[in-house]
Amino acid sequence: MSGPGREKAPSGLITDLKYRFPGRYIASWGALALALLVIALVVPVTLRPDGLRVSTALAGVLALASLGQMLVVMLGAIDLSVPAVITCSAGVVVHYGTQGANLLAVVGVALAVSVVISLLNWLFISVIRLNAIIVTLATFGIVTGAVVLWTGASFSMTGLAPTDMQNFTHWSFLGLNACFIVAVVVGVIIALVLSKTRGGRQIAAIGSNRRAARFHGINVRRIEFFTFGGVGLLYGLAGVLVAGFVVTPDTSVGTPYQLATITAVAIAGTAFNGGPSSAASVVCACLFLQLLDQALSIYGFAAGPRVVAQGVALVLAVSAITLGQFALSGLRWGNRGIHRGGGRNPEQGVGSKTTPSFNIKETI
Amino acid sequence: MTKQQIMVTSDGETRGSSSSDPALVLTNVSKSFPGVRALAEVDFECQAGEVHALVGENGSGKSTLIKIAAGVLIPDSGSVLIEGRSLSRGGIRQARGLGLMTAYQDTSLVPELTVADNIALSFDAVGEKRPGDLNSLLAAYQLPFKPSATVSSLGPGARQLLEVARAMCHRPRVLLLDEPTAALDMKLAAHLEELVRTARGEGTAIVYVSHRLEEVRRLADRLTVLRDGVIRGTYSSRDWNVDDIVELMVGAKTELEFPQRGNQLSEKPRLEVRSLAGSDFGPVSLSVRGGEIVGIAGAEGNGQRALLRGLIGIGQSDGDIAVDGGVLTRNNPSTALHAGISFQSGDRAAESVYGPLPVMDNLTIQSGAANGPGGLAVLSRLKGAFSRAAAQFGIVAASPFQPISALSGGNQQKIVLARPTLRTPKVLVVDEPTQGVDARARMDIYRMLTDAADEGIAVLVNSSDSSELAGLCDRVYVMSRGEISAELVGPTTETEIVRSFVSAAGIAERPDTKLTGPARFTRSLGQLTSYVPVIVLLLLSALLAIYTGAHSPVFWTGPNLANLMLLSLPLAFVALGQQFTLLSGGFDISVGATMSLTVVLASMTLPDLSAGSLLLTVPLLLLAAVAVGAVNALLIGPLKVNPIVATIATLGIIQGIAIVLRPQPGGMIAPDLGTAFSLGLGSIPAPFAILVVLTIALEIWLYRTRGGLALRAVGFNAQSSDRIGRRSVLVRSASLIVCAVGAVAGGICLASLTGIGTNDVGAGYSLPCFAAVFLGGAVLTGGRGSFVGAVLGAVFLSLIDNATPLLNIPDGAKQALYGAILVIAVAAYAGVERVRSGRGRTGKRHPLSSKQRLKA
Repeated sequence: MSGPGREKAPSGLITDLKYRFPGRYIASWGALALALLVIALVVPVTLRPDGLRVSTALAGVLALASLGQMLVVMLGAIDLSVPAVITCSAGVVVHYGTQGANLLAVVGVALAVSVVISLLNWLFISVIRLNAIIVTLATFGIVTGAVVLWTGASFSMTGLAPTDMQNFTHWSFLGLNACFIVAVVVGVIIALVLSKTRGGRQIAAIGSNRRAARFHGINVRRIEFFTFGGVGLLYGLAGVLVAGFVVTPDTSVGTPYQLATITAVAIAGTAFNGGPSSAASVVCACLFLQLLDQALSIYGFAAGPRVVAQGVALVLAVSAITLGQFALSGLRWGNRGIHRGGGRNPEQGVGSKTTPSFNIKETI
Repeated sequence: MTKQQIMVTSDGETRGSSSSDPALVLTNVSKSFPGVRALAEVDFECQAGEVHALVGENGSGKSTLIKIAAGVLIPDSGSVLIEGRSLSRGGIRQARGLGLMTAYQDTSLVPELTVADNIALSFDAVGEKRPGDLNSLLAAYQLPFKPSATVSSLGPGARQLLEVARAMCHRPRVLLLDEPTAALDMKLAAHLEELVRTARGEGTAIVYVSHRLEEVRRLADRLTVLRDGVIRGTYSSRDWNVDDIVELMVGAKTELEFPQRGNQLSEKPRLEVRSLAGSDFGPVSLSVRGGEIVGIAGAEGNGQRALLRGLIGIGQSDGDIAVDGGVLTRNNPSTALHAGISFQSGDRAAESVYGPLPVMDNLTIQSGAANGPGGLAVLSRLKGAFSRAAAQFGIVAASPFQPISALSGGNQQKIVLARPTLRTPKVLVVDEPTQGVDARARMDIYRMLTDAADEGIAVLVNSSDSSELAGLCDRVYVMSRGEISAELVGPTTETEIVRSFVSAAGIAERPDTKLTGPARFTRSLGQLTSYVPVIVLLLLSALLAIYTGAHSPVFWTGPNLANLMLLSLPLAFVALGQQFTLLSGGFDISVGATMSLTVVLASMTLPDLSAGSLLLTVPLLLLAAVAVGAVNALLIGPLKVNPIVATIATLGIIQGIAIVLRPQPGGMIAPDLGTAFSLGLGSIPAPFAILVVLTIALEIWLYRTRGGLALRAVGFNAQSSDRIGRRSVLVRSASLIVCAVGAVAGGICLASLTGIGTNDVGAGYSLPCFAAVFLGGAVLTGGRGSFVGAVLGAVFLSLIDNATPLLNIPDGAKQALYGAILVIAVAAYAGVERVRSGRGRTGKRHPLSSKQRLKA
């Protein structure tokens, strides 16, 4: 975000940029540009203001949820409870956002509930050290069930989102929907926190090497507490906005976001073992996925092929990252697979041989 | 010296027959690792009926040589001949097949399995017949434990002895022993020497790696010294003495010059440690004065590493640490850092560097407020800190933003040791400062350490390189078996240090606390844990059934029970499949989508139960199962995609295909299928009876056959399996295919219930499937759980499903209940497991499990 060092020679500047924005972050930008090009040639209708408004609205919601998923993945965990939290937040907005209700208070409650759910995940994952998959799968079940139990499938009698919320989420500026603008603003804030604050930088450090972070005196639990809290806020915001945009959401409103957030985070070049990521790439990946979906839909593809396309995009993204790592590390790793001696063996060149710890499977 | 003379006299005994044909020949073998030439054109041979000892300092290339001979590593050049036959790229399995067995220092045993199972595994992996009478076999080796004992309950010495005995009972042609006595006390070591002599007498060629020269003198027919990957000489047993060999191991006086020191020591010690103890070390008392560099020496694995970590409160259970006279309360890494103790680990990959992060971030991670006001990290300050450190210490990086993993070991280590300069500590504790570092970087690192001392910092250095301790340190503590066995004051020499731990053999093995009173309790608890889920599930099911029966007259009727059994079938089959892959350490979240796809496929090819449609459907479904499993295996195995992400991707694709094939519900599935499923004995449907039989068969297979044992072994510890020649990646791939087959079987049962092709009918089974297997006691790390438990879990969940409408509980509550049960069950089982392994209450880790955790 900030300007590169002034005292550096131009060549140093370029090198810095190369390392600050490596290929895996640029990939989603490239994919987006390519998609825009192809769409402009084949199905230009997608890029007309009406189509763009829909695409950017859904991309904005997806981006908010994906930024949350990104933070969890940066910590080396994974969150399967996204759909439940989004549904719950949307449910609160619809259920309490009846005529005459204080909209700000309602939104506040929706966000607070989302934060609480996410902090429950934190409690089980970070403090009790249970496996993130199991915990978030359980949270998914509990919250989804509870919402159905509490409001029924359509959240309220009318099932309508508050009118102000509808108006806000359908407002757009230069063809960009309000949801997308919100997502971009939030994305900038997250990028700043991740790069300009010590706590934010420690998120990537914990994900890269939780043990080292602990050894270096980082309060791992506290950082994770604030991260999961923020993640809840992001999911909650996504739920509030999607409720307004969909107008009559039901309990399945969050369903697509389990696969989609993980796909977006993968395409953005985030390693699922934890570590640094780029908020800008995540937002790009979301826009790419949504435009692709929209274009395929307009071109005449049914829901099935579109879901397949998303799955294939995920496979390509994660495999490409692995293959890229192979190409890079194959030169350095004398040996792979079973021969990893870990850092303990002095005869194996300590630094580069141990594969990154697989945090998700670390516990239980 | 008296010992030496005794050994010389004992030297005259008769040696085994040494025939002239070498059993193991390594010719011109070279091997390089990044930045390190581990072996350079080494020729090595070992005759049948000979003990050929291999000695050298830590890092001299011994282990690499052993690993190349064993097929673990592939040499860059050169050849390995075992019994005259070439070891090509076949790896460990081929080497073992040719009659070469290896006993590793950190063992290739699976700690969670019994002694008998571990021996059986080793024979299964090479396709040999298991030995019949284990009791007499163990008795022949005089092993002091029963075949039914769990390996993790044995002490480290017993484990090492078992590792050696297991390799010996194969009657190998060549036996590689890597530091076999490292964990043994004198009595066990003497016993092991006896075993080695016996094996030699039987004509085995034995390569014996050890740093204990007295032992080598007693045992070896020949002795080869390795230093820096080059053979420095081979001697027959009679014509060497300890001093010459130590001289050879150490090399000529090192060409490195250590920096000059200004010896300004503070009056009082800056660091004082009083009877510090932890699970792997202690009690240890030591002190370091300001301006002093104090070394910690010892043979690998004598508690040095644990002691250093204890200083920042990790694994510490007792004792006091004082910095400048102030005793640290509630010691943990954070308080230690704020008290002025800076610890930099030598295990860079696991404990020190953040591989994917930029060098700049790695450097400034501990700088705190120096990075910016109010929790900010100001880029200009970070870059400033980096460019100053880079200039001062000669760190070579293309950019401050370059990931540290791209740097050489030396540069990485310089970054690590530059961290304390940004936040001047009172005490600097450094572990293995120059491991995997080239000669020039070494000099810079030595200068960094002496500069720190000259600034008045108390410096404590642990190193396996005795020459650097001799060159750097004012004093050296020598550790043996967790305690300080000697203190060398004043300038010392490498020879003196090496001799002090080469001769440190007189300390008895640390008392094995694991088998006393409470430990025995936890052990029996451990044996119980595998049954806990089954008992709990039976109890819960019974309670729920009785409660429901009391509130609803319908529940105990035949039709309802038959219905319950039919409804539990899809979940039970998919849970069996999932349990299979979880046992191997795998994971598959795509099962729900696979079930949907099965229903959709059945709706297209199975309009009736005629032979024609069956002939089409069955192969088609099998093909689908294999395809799904193979794609998952490909992504997770060779492509190394995280299992969750990989199976989420396949989930998406399979779901999409199902939607493509059936955008709308449609297509009749043979109504006869539903009817056929409900046929059976009385109210028990035949498929349910089949399920029960299958489950019991699988359970027997798991605990009574080779395949089941191999599956559990891979799940518990893939590395151990690989080391005995059973490739874990193949086992895991196979289990992913079995998992998909289970999902397809579940899908067929589901098809019999739905009767129509629907593309999302299986989606609801993902959560219950995991709930069922985890209720049944499965764990994500693999190895644990049972098929009976998984099916009971499925039946219990189906019971909830059946009971909730009868009890007028709304549908939403059911899903919430599933989730709650899942998390409570997993938390409870994990709690039991932690109490069992002793980690839950004290925060102490089992020494072995923490080691393996590092490797996993």
